[in-house]
Amino acid sequence: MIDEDDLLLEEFTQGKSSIPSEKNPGEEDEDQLDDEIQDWGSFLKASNIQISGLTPQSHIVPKRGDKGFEPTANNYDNLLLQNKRDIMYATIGNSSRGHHHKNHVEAFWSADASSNEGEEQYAVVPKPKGSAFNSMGIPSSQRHIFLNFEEILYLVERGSVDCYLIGNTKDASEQKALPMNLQMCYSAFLKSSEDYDMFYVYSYLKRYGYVVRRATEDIKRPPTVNNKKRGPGLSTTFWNIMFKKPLLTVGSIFYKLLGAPLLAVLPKLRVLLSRYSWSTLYESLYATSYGTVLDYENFKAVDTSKFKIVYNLWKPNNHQKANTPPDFQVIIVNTNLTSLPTVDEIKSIFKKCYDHDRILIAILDNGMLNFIKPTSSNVGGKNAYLEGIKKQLKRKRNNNKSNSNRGGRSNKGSRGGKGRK
Amino acid sequence: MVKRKIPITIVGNRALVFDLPDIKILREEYHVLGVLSGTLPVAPQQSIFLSVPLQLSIEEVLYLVAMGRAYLIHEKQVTHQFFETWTDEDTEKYLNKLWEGHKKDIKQKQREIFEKRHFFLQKTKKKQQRNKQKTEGLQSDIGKEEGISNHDLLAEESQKEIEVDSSNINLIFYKTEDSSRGLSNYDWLVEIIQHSDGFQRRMLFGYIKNHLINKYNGVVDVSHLEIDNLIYDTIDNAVAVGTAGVDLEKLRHRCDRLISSVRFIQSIHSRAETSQYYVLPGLKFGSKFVVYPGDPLRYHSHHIVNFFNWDEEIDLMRFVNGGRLAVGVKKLWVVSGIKPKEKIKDAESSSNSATEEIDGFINALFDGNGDKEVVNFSVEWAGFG
Repeated sequence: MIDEDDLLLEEFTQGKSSIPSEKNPGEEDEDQLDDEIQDWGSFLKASNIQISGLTPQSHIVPKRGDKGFEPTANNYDNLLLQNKRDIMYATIGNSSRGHHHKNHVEAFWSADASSNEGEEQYAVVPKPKGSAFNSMGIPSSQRHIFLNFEEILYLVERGSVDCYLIGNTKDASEQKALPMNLQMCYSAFLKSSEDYDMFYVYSYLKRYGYVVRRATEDIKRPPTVNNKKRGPGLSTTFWNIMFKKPLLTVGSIFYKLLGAPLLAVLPKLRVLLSRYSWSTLYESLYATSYGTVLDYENFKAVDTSKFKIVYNLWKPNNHQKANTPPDFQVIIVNTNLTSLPTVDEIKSIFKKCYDHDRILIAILDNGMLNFIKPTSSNVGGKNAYLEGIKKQLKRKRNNNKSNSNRGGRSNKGSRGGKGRK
Repeated sequence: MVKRKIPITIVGNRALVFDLPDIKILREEYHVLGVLSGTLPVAPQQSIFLSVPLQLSIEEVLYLVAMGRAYLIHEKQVTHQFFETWTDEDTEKYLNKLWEGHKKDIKQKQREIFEKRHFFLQKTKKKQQRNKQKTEGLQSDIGKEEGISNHDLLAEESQKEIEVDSSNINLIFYKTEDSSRGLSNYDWLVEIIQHSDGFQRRMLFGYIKNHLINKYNGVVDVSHLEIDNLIYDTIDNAVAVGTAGVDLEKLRHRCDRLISSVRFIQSIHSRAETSQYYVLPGLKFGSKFVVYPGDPLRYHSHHIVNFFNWDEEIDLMRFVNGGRLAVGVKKLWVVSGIKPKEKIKDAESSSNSATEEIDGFINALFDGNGDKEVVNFSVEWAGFG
């Protein structure tokens, strides 16, 4: 499947493709954020496409003034623009979709089955060839592979598969096959606006090398949820030690009898007790309860049929073993159809997914695609004061160590340490 | 010059253009850009440079249709009809044509390979000769003769190889065409079935309806899920069904938003002083549109455009946010809307169903004077203090 072009392109994108790097797909370069600069000229050079009529000299556009502020009426300006357009047209027009005989794969899409509503239709590949099918489709017992509509459309668009529309002739005596072009494939495979969005996101992710699979409802694991917590204030630990642990039942009776009046005195008591150390003082200052979004009991499950998890993503290296949890899970949102999920909806999504950190929301706007990542983190759960103290201590210890270890070179070492601060 | 109408393929309620000449016309004459969204086969591992199909936003489609510059194709229906009329003879013809093409391909490829090999051989030979000359100091008369005979040999051998080409099957390139244009039956079908005014009107209705009313946007109860697929069965179904249980208030709101954004594009292209402007979807800046003073291939954008209905309240925070963002990226944050007409107010009280509402929308769309009502304000962060 992977041919010279792929390799060339990898060189060309210079690490922009997120396959080897650990970048998230949502993170894009800053210049791309500002304005997408499509320099088809440099692309042409890099990808080494032979285009008739455009000699290498003629399509090298001067570097300076790559993008201007606004058009001026002079001819030079128009020439530059026309040149850029021509290169774009030529690149699109001359890069034909297809493959050589060695890699020839045929797929079949039934024209008759489309009447069965509600059931998903699959394309059949009788003789799958090439590495693309390792991470695609559903294999059958006869070594056929069944492909989803987005998988087959992606392969056709890439030029890797020859697809035929098959069906009965009018008198239903014989079968006939129609070789499909890209336009026919789109019209045959896509049935709703949802389908188009799914296909668009699918091919976007596939282009960057991810292994993309439909997310089915049955692979779900309840996320590890901490119960509602209050801060480990001194009063609670006090109660724990005094009553709850050794004498639970007695403790609860005591609590009922004495708890309320004692609690009233506690604030003063707390301050008194907290004199022991700074950390206990800090602990006693916890006033608010904390937790992740999911921890609160007033969570109400909402209908999230609008925001289904559509795809599971794996980085190519992580997909070797079966049952590896996905690296990301993708929800698709189209700005022209709906708004972003509400907090309640996000909570409901979190309840269904593998891990909060792995949810991506793909936002589509007429061919523009953007990924955002809703996460929930338990800020209060981290003892920032303790960690700060620990870090300081560690740093001091390290400095001391390096000073004593390096001996003669201690000057240099300490300077380095200061620099790092 | 009479400009021909551009056929826009409707698939999955998305407007797509598959033909490169059409894309050229859209870009250069109508200043409609769309977004290229198909994998580029020569470079299938990136998403910066993409190929056909070109995806058009609903605003661009409605603008083109309202100006009489494009028509819609119910692609599902055409493909279905095309398949119905496709016979075994056609398959045979197609295969023959394919085989001829393959043979040509093979010839070309073989010649290329052959010439390359020869070029390489000659190069090495020349090198050897040069080395010989250097060492022996002889004149190169013999070398010249050899060069000529080589050339003859090349011609001879290439002739030979072309005759026995079919054996080399591995050089066959299986090509998938981008568009159906040029297939004789296809063009005929589009012309006959799709091009009538009545059909276009119903098609437009279905397209707009599926955009405005769907299970996602709260206009309709989620229990009416089935409406999404209707346009793809038959066009008549699309018109009749799926408008029940609609929240008219929300529908009207969406209609107004949509018409103001279409009017905005119309107004941009109708005035001489702004006729060079181009519009792209504004996701990158969190708005509806981003407007460029020239083709985005050459120029940076200037405006970030948002749409509001005339009486709609605008959150002040959005103003501050937008203004600061726009100044930060050297652009202007624009608020756009259209003045309400008396007629529309009347229609509000009279239209009782979603069908009437959308019909009214289409009528308003073709009303030519609409672009004069567009009002734009720009917001700039003062950066003071």
